Formats: sequence, C-alpha cells, structure tokens
Amino acid sequence: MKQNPVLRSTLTEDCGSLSQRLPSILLLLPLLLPAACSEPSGQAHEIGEGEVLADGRFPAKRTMAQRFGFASPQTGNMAAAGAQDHGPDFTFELPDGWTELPPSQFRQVNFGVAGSDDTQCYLTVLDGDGGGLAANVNRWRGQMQLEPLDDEALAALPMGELLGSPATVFDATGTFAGMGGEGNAKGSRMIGLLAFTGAKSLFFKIVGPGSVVAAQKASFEGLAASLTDAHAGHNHGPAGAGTMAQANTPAPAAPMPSGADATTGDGLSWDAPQGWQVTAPRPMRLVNYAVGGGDDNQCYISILGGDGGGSLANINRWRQQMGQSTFGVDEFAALDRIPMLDGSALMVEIEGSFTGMGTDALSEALMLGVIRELPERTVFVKMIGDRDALALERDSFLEFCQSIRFADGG
Amino acid sequence: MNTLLNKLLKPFGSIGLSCILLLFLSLLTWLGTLEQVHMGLFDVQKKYFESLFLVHWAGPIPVPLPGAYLVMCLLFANLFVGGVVRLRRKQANMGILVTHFGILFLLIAGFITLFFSQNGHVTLYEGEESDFYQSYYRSEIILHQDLGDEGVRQITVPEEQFLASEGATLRSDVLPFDIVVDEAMRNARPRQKGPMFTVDVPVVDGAFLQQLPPDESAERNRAALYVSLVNKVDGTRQQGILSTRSRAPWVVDVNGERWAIDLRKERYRLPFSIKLEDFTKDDHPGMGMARSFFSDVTVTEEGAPRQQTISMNEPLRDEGLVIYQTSWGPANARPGDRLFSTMEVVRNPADQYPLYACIIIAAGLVLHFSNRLTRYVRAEGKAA
Amino acid sequence: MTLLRWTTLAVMTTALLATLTTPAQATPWQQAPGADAEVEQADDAHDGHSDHSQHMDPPPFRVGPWSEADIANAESLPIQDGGRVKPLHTFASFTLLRYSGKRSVETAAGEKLSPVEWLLDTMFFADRSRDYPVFLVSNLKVLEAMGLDTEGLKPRDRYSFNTLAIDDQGTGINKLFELAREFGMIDPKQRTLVQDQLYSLAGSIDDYNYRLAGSALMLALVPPDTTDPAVDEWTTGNALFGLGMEGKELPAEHDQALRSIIGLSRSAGVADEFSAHLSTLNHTTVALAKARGEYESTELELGYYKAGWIAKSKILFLLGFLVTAILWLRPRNMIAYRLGWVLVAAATAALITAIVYRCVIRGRPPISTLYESVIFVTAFGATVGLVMEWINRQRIGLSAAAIVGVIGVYIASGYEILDKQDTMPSLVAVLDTNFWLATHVTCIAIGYSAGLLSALLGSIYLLGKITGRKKDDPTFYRNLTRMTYGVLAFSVIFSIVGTILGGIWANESWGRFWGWDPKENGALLIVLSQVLILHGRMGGYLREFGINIAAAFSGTVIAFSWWGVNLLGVGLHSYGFTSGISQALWSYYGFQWLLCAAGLYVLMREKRLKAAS
Repeated sequence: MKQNPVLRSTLTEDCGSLSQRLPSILLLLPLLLPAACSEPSGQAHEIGEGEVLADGRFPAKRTMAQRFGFASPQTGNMAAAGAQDHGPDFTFELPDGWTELPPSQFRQVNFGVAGSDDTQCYLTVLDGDGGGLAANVNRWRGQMQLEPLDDEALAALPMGELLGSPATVFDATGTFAGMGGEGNAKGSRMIGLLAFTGAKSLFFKIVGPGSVVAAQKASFEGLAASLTDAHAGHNHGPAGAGTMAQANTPAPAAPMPSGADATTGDGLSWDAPQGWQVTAPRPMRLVNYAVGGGDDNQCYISILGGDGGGSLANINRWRQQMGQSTFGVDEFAALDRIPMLDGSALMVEIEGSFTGMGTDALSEALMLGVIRELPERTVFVKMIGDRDALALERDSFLEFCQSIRFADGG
Repeated sequence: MNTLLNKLLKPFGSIGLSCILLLFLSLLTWLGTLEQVHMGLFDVQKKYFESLFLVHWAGPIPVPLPGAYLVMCLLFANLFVGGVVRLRRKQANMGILVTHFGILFLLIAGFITLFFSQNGHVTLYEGEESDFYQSYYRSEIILHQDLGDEGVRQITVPEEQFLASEGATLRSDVLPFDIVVDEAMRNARPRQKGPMFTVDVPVVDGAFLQQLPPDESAERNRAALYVSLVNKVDGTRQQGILSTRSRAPWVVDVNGERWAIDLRKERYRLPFSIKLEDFTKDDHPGMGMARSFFSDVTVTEEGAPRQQTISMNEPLRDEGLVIYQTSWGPANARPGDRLFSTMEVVRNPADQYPLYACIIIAAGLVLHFSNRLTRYVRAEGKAA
Repeated sequence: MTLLRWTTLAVMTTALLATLTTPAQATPWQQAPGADAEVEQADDAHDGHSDHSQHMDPPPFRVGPWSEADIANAESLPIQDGGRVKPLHTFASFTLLRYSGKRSVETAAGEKLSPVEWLLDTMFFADRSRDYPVFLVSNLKVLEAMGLDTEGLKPRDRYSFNTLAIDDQGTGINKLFELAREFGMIDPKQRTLVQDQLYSLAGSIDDYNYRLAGSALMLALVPPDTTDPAVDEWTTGNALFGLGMEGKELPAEHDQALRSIIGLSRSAGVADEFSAHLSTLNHTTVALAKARGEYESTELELGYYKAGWIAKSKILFLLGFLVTAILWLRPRNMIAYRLGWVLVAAATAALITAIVYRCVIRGRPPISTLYESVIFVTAFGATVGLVMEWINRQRIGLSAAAIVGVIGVYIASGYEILDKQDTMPSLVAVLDTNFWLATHVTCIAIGYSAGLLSALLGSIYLLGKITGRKKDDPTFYRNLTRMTYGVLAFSVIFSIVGTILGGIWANESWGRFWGWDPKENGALLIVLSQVLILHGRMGGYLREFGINIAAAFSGTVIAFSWWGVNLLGVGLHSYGFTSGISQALWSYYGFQWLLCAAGLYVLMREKRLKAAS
C-alpha cells in the first residue's frame, strides 16, 4: 500500500517555502501549524521581479526537438550539473493496416497489427545485457509453454539483423500464456529478434494467433528491417547528477563492443581475414568471428585490465578447458612468441576435447590462443573449434593477430 | 492564578504523558523502519517522521497515528514542563535536570535542522568549476529576460508554487505574460509524438510528457510541467513543456520582450566558487574497494584562491556551509577514465549543536547515576 | 575472600591458562603411509592422464606428514590478501573455512590436515588435493542443479573437486559455472537460497582451481622491494615470471623469491629440496616485509591464531557454565563456586586477551566488524557479571557471566562460519577512522552488552517466578531486580551517548545528524525502550515484576537493532545476510516473548490472588 494521496498529510510539502513559513513559526507554537498552509488550485502567486544580473548571458533559442534531444546531435556540455538521460527514438515504415500505439515504459515502440486486437508487436530496449540470450529466449519459450533450449540449440538459432546489429531470430509456436502467464491461447506463434550490443539489449517481437502471425510475418520482417535508431552513437553524461552511490567497485575493464563498426574497438583496430564473419558480440568479447564455416568455430578478441590474471594462469585455464594437464614453468618458458602490437605475444596451440564454460563438449578440438600483455591491460585472441576446420585457418589466425594495431589515440 | 496555571500545566508535565509519548515514538520508529523495505527513505521520512498525523496500513486495516513531529513537539513541552520547570530541586535530581536540558537542546537542534537547513550537492568532473550547488529533490522554474547590453533579468519560482498546484497562475509585474500551470508531474519524461497514436496529454510541437511512476530513490524523480503563457495585452495563449531533463530553455518572444523559461533542480548560490582540481580514489592494495577517496579543490573567495582537500569524514567548513565528500562516479569507470566527484553541501545553523547536547546529556547521566551509586554504597556501608 | 583464597584462585587460573597455551601441534601420525606411498608412486608413473607430449608427471606424494619445519616456514610466510598483509596461516585457515565450514580436512586415507597442510597439499600435490572432500554442500538441490545424482547422499556433506568435476554429459562443475554466471547477474538480494549457494560454491571452486591448485604462483607472496609506502601492492610469482619472460631484470630479492616459488613446484616430492626452497622463500619475503615494517603485525597475528584464545575461551566458558549449573542445584557448594569463578574468570580473561591482541594486530579500536562486536559484547557482559558477583556474591552474577560467555562465543564461531571471510578485513572508506570507531561503536556495544545482560537478569527473574523457586524469599527477587535495574541504568548512559555520537559521526561524514536510517532507528529504539523503563518505574507503572518483564523484552529490541536491521536490507547499514541469522534471531525473539508472556501471566495471577486475599 503506497501513500494514500488523500490522507497524506505533510508539513513541508503543502506549506510554503522556508521564508514563507518563518513568520508562522515565530508567531505560533510549533504545535499547531495552520491548516491553511496547503495551496488550493486556481490561486495566483506573485513571483516577484527577480534580479538583474549584469554579467548574465541569455541562452540561445532552440527548437523543441533540440531542447529534448529528439533526433539531433547533442549540443552543450553533458556534464554533471543537470545531466539528463532520455530514451532513443525510432523511425520505421509502418506496414499496411498496422497502427502505431502509444509507447510504454518497456515498449519503446508499440504497434497494433492489421486485423487483430489479440496480436502484440513491440520493441523493447534495455540497458546492459538484459540477462543475455539464453535467459531471454528461454523466457519467451516459457511464455509459449515450451521447454527451454540447451546451448547447442541456442547456438543453432538463425541470425538476422535488428537496428543495425546482428540479432538472433526466434520463431516458436505454442500456447501463449501471456506476459504474466495468465493466458491460455493455444496455437499462438511468437516471432522475435534479439540483439545485444553490450551497452544495450534490443528485443523486437510479435505474438498472437498463429494464423495472424503467419499472415503478417512478411510485414513484421519489413517493419523490423526499416526500424532505425534516430540517434545512434551519442553518449550520456553521468546518469542523474548526484546519485547517492556509495563506494562503488568498478567492474573489470571489459570493453563494450560497439557492434556498429567491426574492425575497431577500444583503441585497437584490426583486419578480418577473408571468410571470417562477424557474429553476435558477447559480453567480455571485443569482437567475435565465425571462422571456417559452422557456428562452432569462433575467434574472438577480449581485453582484460591489468595482467588479466597472469599469462600462465590463463594458459592453464585454457589447457584445462581442453582437457589437458596444466603447464609447469618449464613448458611455459618453452612457449612460442609472435610479434604483435608493437611487441611480442605468447602463443599456445592446444589440441584436445573442449569442455569450456557453458558450452557442449567438442571432442576433436583445436584451440589457438595468443596473449599480449600491455602496460595497463592484456589482449587475448583465441580461436577455438573443430580441429580439422581450424587447422586450415591457422595462417589466417596469425595474420589476424598480427594485423591488430593501435587505433589513433589508442 | 498560580494554582490555575499549575493545574493546567500539571497534566502536560506528567510522567504518564512522557511514557505515552515515548511509546508512540517507539511505535513510529519501528513502523518507519519496516516501511523502508518497500517505500523509499525520503517518503518514509515525510510520512512518519515529519508529519503531524498519518494513517498506517496494517494490511487492510487503517491505523491513524500521530506523526513523529507532533509527538516530539509534545515531548518537548512535556519535558520542559515536567522535566525542568516542575522538577523538584533537590540534590538527587541535579543530574536529571542537566540531562533533560541536554535533550531539550537536542530537540531544538532537530527543529532548527528541519526548518532552516538546506542541502544539495555539487558534482564536478576534474577541471570543472561551479559557484552554485543544487538540490537533490527540489525543482524550480527559472526565467530569464534578455536585457541586451544590460545583461539578463532572472526570476526563480520555488516548487511550492507550481508542483502541487495545477491551475495556479504565476504572475509578476515585469512579465509580459502570466504563466498558468496546466499540468504538473513529479516524474516524467519528454517524448516525441509519433503520427499514428494518440495520447491523453497535450502535444506541443511534436512532443509530449510521459508520466513515470515516482522513483524509490526520491532524488531520481525528474519533474516536468505543461504551462501556458497568457499574453497580458491580447490574452493569447501559447503552451509549452518544461522539464528538468531539458538541455535548453524555452525561449519566447512576447510583446517585444524575449524571455527564456526552464525547469531545473533548485540551485543555491555558493559564497565562493569551487573547482575540482583532482579526485583521487585510493584502493586497498589488490582490491577494487576504496580505502579512501578525496577531492583536491580550489576555493576562490573574492578573487583569493586557496587549496583544500575534502575527504570522507573530513569535510570543509566555510561561510556557514559544510562540504562533504559523498561519492564519485561513473560507477563503471576504468583506470584512467575521467571521474567526477560528488560533494554534498549543507547549510545548517545547528551543525554543532548535537555535539554540545551530547556532552551535556552525558554529563547529566554520569552525574545522576554516580550520585545514586555513591548513595547506594553509603547505605550498604551504614547497614553493614 | 581472604588473601590466601585469592592467591589460590590466581594460581589455579594461571595454571589453567598455561596448560591451554601450548601451541597446537600437528597431529602426530600413528603410522607413516610408507608402503602405500610407494604403491602410489608406482601408479603415478603409469597413470594414464593423457597422451600428450607436453605433460609432466605429477610429483610423487609426500612420504609421511609435513614436517614441523615446513609447516612453520609455510605458516609464517607473509601474504597480501584482501588488502592487508597476513600470515599464510590466516589465509589458509579462512580459505578452508570458506570452502568447508570448518578448519580441518579429513582425507580418505585417514589423515587429518590442518589448513596449512591442506594448502600445501593443494599447491604442490594438487592431484591428491582434488580428492580431498573439502567443498561443503548443505543442500542436495545444489547437486541436483549441477546434474549430479543425489541418490543415497547425506543432506549436508563435503565433496572433493573430482567428485564434482566435469563428466561427459557436461554436468558437475561445468554446469555449476554456467549457472553461476547466470545467477551472478541477479541482484544478490533477489537470489533464492539455492541460487546463492550455487553461486557461492562456484566461487569457491573457481578460486580453488584457479588460484590455489598446482602452485604458489598466484598468491601475492612477494613484497615490493622498496620501503616507499606509496608502493603498496605485493606481487605474485606469476607476475614476476611474466616480467622475467619479457626480459626485464628483477631485483635480487624478487629473483630469489621467484626461484624459490618455482623451485617449490619443481621439487614437490623431494623433501630436502622442497624444504630448502621453502626456507629460502620465507627468509627472503620476511626480510623484505620487515624492511617495510609490514611483518610485525603478521608475526603477532600468527601467534594469536596459534594460541587460539577464542577457542580456549569457548571451552572454559562451557565448563564454567556447566559448573554454575551445578551451583544452582547446590548453591552452598564452595568447591563448585570457586571452580566456577576460576573457569569463568579465565574464560573472560582469554577473551579479553584475544580482543587486545586483535587491537594491536590491526592497530584499530576493538570493534570494526560485526564479528568483533560479538566478542566484545560477550567479554564486556561477562566482565560486568563477574563484577556484580564480586559485589554481592549471590551466584547470580557468576551464572549470568557464564551464560553470556557461552552463548556469545558460540554465536561468534557460528557467525564466522556463515560470513566465510577473514574476520580482520579491510574497511570501507567511511569506517576508516579510529576516533569514531573507538567512541561511537564502543559506546553502542557497551550499551548492547549491558542491555542484554539486564535482559538476561530479567529473564532469570521471570524463570524464577514462573517455576516458583524461592517463593518465600522476596529478598532474593528484590536483589535480583536491583541488579537488573542497575545494569539497565548503566546501559542507558552508553546507549544514549553512543547513539548521539553516531549522529555526530554521520554529520561529519554525510552532512546530516539524523536520517531515520534503519540502523539509527534501531539505536533510537533501544534508547527509547530503556528510557521508558526508567520513567515507567519512576511513574509507578512498573514495579518489581514489571521492570523485569520490560527489561527482558528490551533484549529483543537490542537484538533487532544489532542484527534485525541488517536483515531488512535497506539503508546505509545493510550487509546482506543469510537465513541462518534470521532463524537464530527469530528463535530468540520467540523464546524471549514467550518468557515475557508467561511472566505477565504469573504477574496477573499474583495480582488476582493478592486482590482476592
């Protein structure tokens, strides 16, 4: 039970400001303040004449859009005093018969689908990784009364695009239980796109009776393709001036992949070899490539602050993931080095059976890993996948590592 | 006359009343603590501790209670009458008298703080400077008139005059228009209006205000208003949106005058300007936890700059203001990122009063109980 | 008592303390594993780990237990962990406590290992260590979530790394980490118990596997080689190795330390070589630490933990409590009385010794964490009880001291296990001030202590009245009430002063004297309840019986303020606790309220009888 507005009675809210209350306080005992303190509406207030500031500067005239940051480049200092945040706004091409509905807190854009009041279609944008791919896909599957997918199935889902980022395509038929799980609509179908840019997670979905969704699928896809973020790529000042955050522990120096430009990030740039496809970025990975066909073969760059836990420790961790025993210092000393990033980097090549965190076992696997320790951070490049497929990519991998260089100002 | 006064005062000073008031205060404190689990601290303070009356909902049952403010006022009276004025002046009661004085003093300090203190914050990135601090919770309308070479005229309107007064008119002789508050929202966000949907709030120049539920952390509420400017000459109206989230004010030309209107967090002038030279966050070795953090600032008063350091537990006191190192950000900063420092600014005339009250109370209690102890020991000695 | 009797008492106390002060020995083995070790060595040679060329044979296992010299060298190694320098003994002890819920490991071979021995095995005989049942799982659902078969397993047991490890179906630890990453994204306050336990288990296993198992390279054992206090971060063998790999020249001591650390791993099965390396490492790092002035407290800390003052005090309090229980049955038995005195006094002295040691080691006032508040409150309460006993010799003070002592140290050890971390942690910035810790926190703790003692005395009164003991001896109850009231009055002073000091501290740190924060409210509630009792008595509303009921009730107010507000999870004082504390707290509330209700009933009955007659 939140505050009851009728019975909420406060001293400071409804009464006048400091200076207005002062005479009352002085005259009356602090016991009983006059009930006439609250201001009825319709009253007129004299606000005074203010003061003239000889050195004051008059602000420039701006349009409404500029004042609130709708579809325009930011002006002025986004610094602490009076910083604000605001949601993105989107442009799109509305399909025939579809309508636009008012947005809500979690539906940044909301649509009414042609010919069906039961069908919902909307875009949700959340900060951060929103729980990740697995959690969200399985939540949607839960809403459709379906079993969750395991990692293999998740990795096998087709890819599309949403708002310029790679997105996983979700398409399932089941009994839609509604967002709150109270419904019971058999034969429903849900199609959705899920994209994670690291800084934000984007979800665009349509759910309704199977026949309607099937009929509107093309429209949905066209709408999704036409959906554009009106102001991509600007940054925010400190969120809400002066939040009372106490001693914060900063997160480890994980770079946030931009998703937009796939060959630079975090002060580095690189050249992707022929045939390598950028895939959905993941937390902790600067960029992720699908290598040599198949989704199981991947190569990615990640950067950790400081010494990233130490080269030997990381190599041993990789060796354990590959089912190998750990290195002692002798083996470690015998490792190869390759030139990279104006210096030399350690390289390991490990064969085995990959049972890395959270993925299924890959029995004849090959891992190539490169560790380059920089003054403030450590760059890891790792390629993992099927042994035979990756054996063909070894040269590309070396080329890739050696192409990594400091971007301007990095 | 004396006996009549006495008769009137007697119930005020009774111990029974003290017990009842203490019981109520305990109840309110306890309820206020439990309520904080789902109601923000700010709201609980307003409802339970700074109010005269309130209704506490025990599930579906409404329980009317006096607010802690009322209870403490009565306690003050009770303590004064019963604990000081009517206290029998004998040796045994001296300690109690002193203690009661101390508590009265503490209560006075509390009243002063409630009515006469002001607090806000100044948040600066390294290298930035400011001569004002702003409120966490309160908003104000700010009006500027372009006076050309003579500068600007500035008028501020405190939130009492607009936030809870829909339909109210703000007027001034120097304004060419009256401002009517059409709608006021405690927490809202300006959005762009799309072509195909309707909203039930006015749309101005393609924008409307989306009302949001009040945030649990009260300082995150961003007020916004729909206002209409009524031309004093010909009565024409133009409507506009004011929001604390705006990047620029609403500039209007009326009757040959140019005015800028905006809504922002209430600002208070500092009697000096403060510049953040350097912010340091010193971590415990090998950990991300801060061992200490402090701001090196330059305070410039009347052209004379001086260096100061403000750290946790060591605030800066100057000109009746106290500046504290409260927090820093951004929360996910990496080593080498630019940091900002948030310094809380408090103006409280009763700043040191609790310290004095503490000393008085402690002295009184020690006096009283050592008195009793010696009498007890003497009595034991006599008996033996 | 006469001088003679007090001398006897002093001598007995000293003797008792002396017998308990001998440092804990490593358990001597009945038989050396001898033949078994040889067989194991042979097995290792043929062990089919993997068929890769880059594979080192695991070292043969140690022959017999770790030598005293090795243990001494290992446990006194300084390590920087959690932001401070401590002996490896502390690090091993708390790490094992965190994983295992106790400070020893029982291997399948029948060895009982101390934390340092376990750590040595983990670092240098990791393959063996992975078979030690170390990881405590107190909920079968955790194992089920990991995909393991829980048929026939005990609901709460310890498992080895290998038992939990990866198997072909991707269950076990694999699954555990996957779940942990998911749960890590849930706000800690919103996690269910099982999620929390899974997350915590994953953390332990990851820590074990990543940082401890296999070598001493990952621990920050090497002090900086400069006495400049601005350089305060210690290095790991791994980091030094990395520097060496890049061709950087290491300072002589660092080079020596690195060689020793590497040498340890290399010579794991070769006793003499290993001991030599360990000894060199010890000398090198201790010398560096001493040069920086960082070793003195480490040495003290090692002595403190090895002496086990709190453990001693626990045993003594327990014995003292049993003896005083006998005393209730035979109040005039002088042997029991004196023995009780000796035991409880010795226990309190041991606890106070512990507190003093900790102050010196940390360079801080006695209380800076919740754990330390428990032992302080216990020590203070027991002391006040003993003082009261000295004054009036009614045996009540003694019993109260024993009860407070035994409950207190048990709560302390229980809390230590629940909290799973070093009880001398580094503090957050706002607490990093000795002045306020010494004044405000100590006052509040004294207030808690005296207030709880008063509640205990009140409870004793109620128990007496309810069970009808000493019905015909109103003086007993009158005296008891005087004690209850006197201790309460004592508490009032400290509660009020402590609370206001807290406000002043808040004003100095955050700019507001009073914010109605839950912890502040809790303190205020204690003050109000105690002041209410004082005024209730003054106004005649509370007479003898009433005072005791009220004092007993106020114990729950103190418990709420001390522990309950932390469970609410709001405000600047929240720490985030497990349900263990909640259970204990509600049990206490229930017990105390029941007692008060029963007392009230008896009071009403007494009144009716009196009115009738």
